[in-house]
Amino acid sequence: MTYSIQESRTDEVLRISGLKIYYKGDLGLVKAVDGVSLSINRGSSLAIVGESGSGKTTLGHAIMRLLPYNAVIAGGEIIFNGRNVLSLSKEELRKLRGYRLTMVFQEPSAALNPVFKIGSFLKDVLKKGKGASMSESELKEEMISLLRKVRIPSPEEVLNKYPHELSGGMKQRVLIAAAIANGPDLMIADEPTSALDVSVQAQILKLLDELRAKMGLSLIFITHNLGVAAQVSDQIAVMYAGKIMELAPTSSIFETPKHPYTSMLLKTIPTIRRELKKEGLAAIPGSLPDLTSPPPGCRFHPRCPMAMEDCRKVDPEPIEVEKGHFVSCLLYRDKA
Amino acid sequence: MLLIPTLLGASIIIFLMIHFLPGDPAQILAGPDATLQDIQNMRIRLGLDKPLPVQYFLFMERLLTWNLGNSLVSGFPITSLIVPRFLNTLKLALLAISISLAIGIVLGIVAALKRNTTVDRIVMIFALLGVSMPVFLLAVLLIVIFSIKLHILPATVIGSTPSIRHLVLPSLTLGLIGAAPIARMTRSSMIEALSQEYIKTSEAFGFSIRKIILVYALRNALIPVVTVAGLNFGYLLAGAVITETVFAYPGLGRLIVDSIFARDYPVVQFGLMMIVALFAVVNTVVDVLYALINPRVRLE
Repeated sequence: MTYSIQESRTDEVLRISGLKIYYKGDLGLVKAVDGVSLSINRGSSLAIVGESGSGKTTLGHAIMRLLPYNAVIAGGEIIFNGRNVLSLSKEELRKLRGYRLTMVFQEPSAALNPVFKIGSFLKDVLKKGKGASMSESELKEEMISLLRKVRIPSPEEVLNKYPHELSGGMKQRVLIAAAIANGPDLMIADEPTSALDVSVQAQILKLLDELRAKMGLSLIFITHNLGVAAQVSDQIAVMYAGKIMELAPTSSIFETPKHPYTSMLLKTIPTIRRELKKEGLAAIPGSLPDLTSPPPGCRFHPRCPMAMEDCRKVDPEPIEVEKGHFVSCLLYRDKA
Repeated sequence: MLLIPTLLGASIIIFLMIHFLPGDPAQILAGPDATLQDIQNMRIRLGLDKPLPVQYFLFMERLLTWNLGNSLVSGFPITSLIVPRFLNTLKLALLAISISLAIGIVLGIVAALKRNTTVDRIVMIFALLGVSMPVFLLAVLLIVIFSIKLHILPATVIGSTPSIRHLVLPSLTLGLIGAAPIARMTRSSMIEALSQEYIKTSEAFGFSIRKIILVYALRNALIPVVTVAGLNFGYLLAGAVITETVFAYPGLGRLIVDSIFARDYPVVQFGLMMIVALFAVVNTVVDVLYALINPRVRLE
């Protein structure tokens, strides 16, 4: 069963079905992603939200095929622009990356090579695609216009700077500029604002949303923060222990959350109103299960306040409770 | 710029060291049958009767005006003794450091890419041998193999102008030994560079493996290698003294050793100064290179 928000699939950029990614560890296989299916349309944006260890980053890296050496793809497909990324050769992958499929990372300071100037990095990226046959002066113009697109002041100077001469926010803008340089179809942003100041975070989120709308690119935004997800996404997929618990339009997730886990996550978002009422923050009791031997049935049942007898035995299938609103929870099984 | 104070300090140490060596040059130069008066006359002729500070200033004056005087033993002008020998040593040292860098960096990269495999282990055993083997042992081994068994290269230099063929074995000796620490440093810094986030970024942007290894990672990995290579140059000059002696290579090192035995102390002093100056200049070049490849240093 595949999640899909719209009936028409002609404009589908990415479709993941039944994806399973396990890590080989000393204690056995860690089932980091265990049967994930989703799809994303051209120009839309999907936030994947979950706690650390929920498998959201593994999922993002799997789409890029940037998995560590001990990862095993145990099943499923990742269809990007009609081709299965998992069966591409290294050379085909190399052509895809940085061109049709790009990624923005969590730590802009670590992600930029410290010994190369910004201009040299952007030039290398452009030469892969758009800039392949450009002259030096055309390349420079293209780089300047790219830096303008990501709102970098005095772009000409920045081209001549080294990463350590820029602030964290500026570095992330540079990486975003590189990610959009060749007009990609899909950009995966893995916690791109987690390492930045809150005020800078907001600017970067706004920028990503603008670029998506302007360039018609699709965005997968990986975050642990539902509040951040709300600002950049059309749909949200809530992940827990390697599975998608709920996938719905962003407004539905906030207004009518169906899964008990989603409801509990929403209560963990700090708000000023709660602070003033001295309610404190709700925490979800317990911790993520051991993914080498996940609990049988629903993976959330040990922490779920609404757990029933069947939750220990039956692994819930996604159910479309409203149009485009999928939830994997036995509470809704009579609505299937 | 630490170049000037370094050279000044070195000049004082070199000047004093010679004066604390056992044996009186005046007595030796005056010959075995000299009377006390002869020795005293010789001492006055050499300027050794003057107080030490005065002698030091005279020494510096000769050095700075490049008017080094004559050898006490042969009577030839010291300049004409030192300069060709210095150039020979410079040739040897530059060739050796080039061999060290070429072999060390290539082996280090290969070992890093094949880490924990047989290839890596073989390279590391080679590096361990290189670090532990004395220069004279390798020199003799190379002579045995290439000169005595295979007869393809000359073992010693006859005359004062060595040809390229004469340079091969001495520079190989020094180069192979210098390659070992460079290979080890390249391996470890390459492994570190390859594990950095920016390498993942390069992969995510689909750059070729070749470019990722030889440009993005290597450029970072070379930063500590440059430092090691610079320090290594000092050991190389020290090793050159032994190597030159083994191969009878007409370099500055051998001139200094011969002059020490002959108590020809002005030649020793000025020869040592030349080696110190060379090392100081190399270190300055390394500092400049370091700033060139590591932009983060330039701010300081």
